[in-house]
Amino acid sequence: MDWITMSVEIVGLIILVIWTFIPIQEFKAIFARLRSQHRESE
Amino acid sequence: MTPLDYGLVLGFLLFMALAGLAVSRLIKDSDDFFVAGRELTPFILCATITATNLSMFHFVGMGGTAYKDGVSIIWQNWTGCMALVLSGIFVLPLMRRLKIRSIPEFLELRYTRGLRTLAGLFWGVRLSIYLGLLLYIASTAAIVITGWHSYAAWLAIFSLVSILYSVVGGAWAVAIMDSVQFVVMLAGGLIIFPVAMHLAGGIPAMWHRLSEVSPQYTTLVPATGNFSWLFVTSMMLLGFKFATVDQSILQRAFGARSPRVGAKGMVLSGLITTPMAFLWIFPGLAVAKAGPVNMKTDEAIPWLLRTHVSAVCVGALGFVLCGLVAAQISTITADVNSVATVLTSDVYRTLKRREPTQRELLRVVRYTSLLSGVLMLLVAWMFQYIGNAVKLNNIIVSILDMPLFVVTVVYGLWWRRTNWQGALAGFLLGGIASGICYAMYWDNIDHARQIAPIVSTLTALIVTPIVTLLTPPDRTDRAATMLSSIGRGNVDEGDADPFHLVPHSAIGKAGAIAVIVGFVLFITGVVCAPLSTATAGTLAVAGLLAVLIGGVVRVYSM
Repeated sequence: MDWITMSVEIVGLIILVIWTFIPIQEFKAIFARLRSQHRESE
Repeated sequence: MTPLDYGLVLGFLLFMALAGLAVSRLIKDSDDFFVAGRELTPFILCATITATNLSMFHFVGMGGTAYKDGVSIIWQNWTGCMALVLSGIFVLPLMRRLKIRSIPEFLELRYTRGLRTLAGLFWGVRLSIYLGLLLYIASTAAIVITGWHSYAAWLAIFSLVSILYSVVGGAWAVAIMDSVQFVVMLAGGLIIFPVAMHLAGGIPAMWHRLSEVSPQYTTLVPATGNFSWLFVTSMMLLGFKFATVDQSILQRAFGARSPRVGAKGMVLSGLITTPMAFLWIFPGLAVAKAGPVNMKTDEAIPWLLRTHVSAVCVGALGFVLCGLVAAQISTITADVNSVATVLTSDVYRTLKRREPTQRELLRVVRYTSLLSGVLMLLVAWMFQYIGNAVKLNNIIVSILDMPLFVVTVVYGLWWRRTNWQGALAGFLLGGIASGICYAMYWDNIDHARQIAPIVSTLTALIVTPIVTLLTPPDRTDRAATMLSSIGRGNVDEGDADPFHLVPHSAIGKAGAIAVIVGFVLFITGVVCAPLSTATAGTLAVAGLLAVLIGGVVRVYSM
C-alpha cells in the first residue's frame, strides 16, 4: 500500500473512531437531561 | 452475491426500521418532529449533516464521473465543503437565532407570508422530485450490483424502511439513525478505497498512467471541457445555495442546541467531508486505469464492487452494500422529514385561518410525511421511463435554487431596503433566465448546466434591487425588527457559549480572516485556469485548506 493510500485510510479510521464514540457520549448526555427534565415536570 | 451478503443487507435494513421506530417515544411536540427538540450537539449535528449530504449518488454517480471525465469532479464536493464552513460562520448562526424551522419561515419573517407559502410549495415539489431520484438511483444500483432485476421490489424495500421511521420518529429518528448510518457508510468507503487502489497499482502509478492517457484526467481545475473552471464556479455558487437555503441541510442545523453548536456542526461536516471525497473519486479513477474501457458512467463502481470487493472475503460485499444503503436511506429520510416540514409548517399552517394545536400539527406532519413518501414512489416509478434522471434533477436544481439563495441570503440578510416585490421578482425572473439558458443550449445540455446557475444568480442579483427601488419601501418594521434581533452584538438570552458575528478574541479574528483570505485565494486560482491549470489547482487547494483550518479555529474560539 503506497503512502497516500495509507494516509487516506488512517485519516478515515480516525474520523470513524471519533464519530463512533463521541456521538454516543453526546446522546447519553442528551437523554439524561431529557429524563431529568421529564421527572421535574412530573 | 452470497447468501451472507444478502443477509447482512436485509438485517441492516430491518435494524434501521426497528431502531427508527423505537425512538418514536421521544416525539412530544411538533418541534421534536421538525428539529429534534433543538437538542443536537456538534458531533451529532456533523454526522447528521454529512449523512444527509452524502448518498449513493456520490459513491456511484460521482465515482463514475471520475472514471469518465477525471478528478476535477471532486470540486462538486470540495466547493460544498467550503460553503458549509462559510455558511456555518456567517449565515447559520443568524438564522438559528430566529428559532425557525424552515427557510420559507425565514421569508415570512423577512418579507411576507405569501412568499413563505410560495417557497414552501417550491421546496415541497423540488424535494419530492429529488427524493424520487434518490430512490431511482438506489434501486437501479441495487439491480446492477445484486443481479436481482426487480425494480418494483427494490423500490418497495428502500421506501418502506425510510417512510416507516420518518413518519413515526421524525427528526429525532433521522438524527439518531444518521449517526449510525454515517459510521457504516464511512466504514464501507474505507473497504472500497484500498481495494480500488490495489487494483490500480497504487496512487502514484495510477496518477502517472492517467496523466499519460489524457492530462484532463489529472488536472484539478481544467481550462476547458465539461468539468472546467466554469463548472467549478457554478458548483461554488450551488454550494452556497446548498449550505445556506437547502431545506434538508439547514433543517438539521436548526436542530442545534445553540447558534455556536450549529456553526460547529456545519464546519466539522465541511472538514471531514473533504478527505472523504477521495473515497469515491479515486476508486472511479482506479477503474479508469485498470478496468474495462467504455463502460457507462454508472456502471464503473458497481463493476468494481462485483468483481474486486466481493473477492476480498465472504461478506465484504454485503458490508460495503450496507454502507451504500446507509448513505442512501439517511438522505431519503432527512428529505422526507423536510418535505413534511415545509408542507405542514409553511403551506398547511399558513393557509389555515386559526393556529393549529400541537396535537393537530403532529397528526398533519405524519400525514404529509406519508404523502411525501408516496410522491417519492410515484416520481421514482416515472423515472424508469423518462431516463436521464440525474440530468433532469440538475436542471430543476439550477433553475430556481440560486434565485432563492440571492433573495434569502444576499439581499434578505444583508440589504434592509429589499422588499417583497423585489424578492418575488428576483426569484421568478432568475428562474426564467435559467430556463431560457436551457432552452437555448438544449442540444448541449452540459454547457447549459455550467452557465445556468451563473445566469440565474446574476439575473436575481440585478432584478431584485431594481424592482425594490421602483416599488414603495416596506412600511412595516418587519425587516428592521428581524434583522436587528439577529445582527451584530446580539446573542441568545441565557446562552452560556454565545457566538458573536464579529469574533471577540484575536484567535477568532485570525480564523475568520483565514477563511476570507482562503476563499479569495480559491476564487483567484479558479479564474486563473485559462492561463495556467497548474497554478489554478495549487491556489484553489491552498484556498480550500485555509478555509477549513480558519473555520475550525473560528468556531472553537470566542
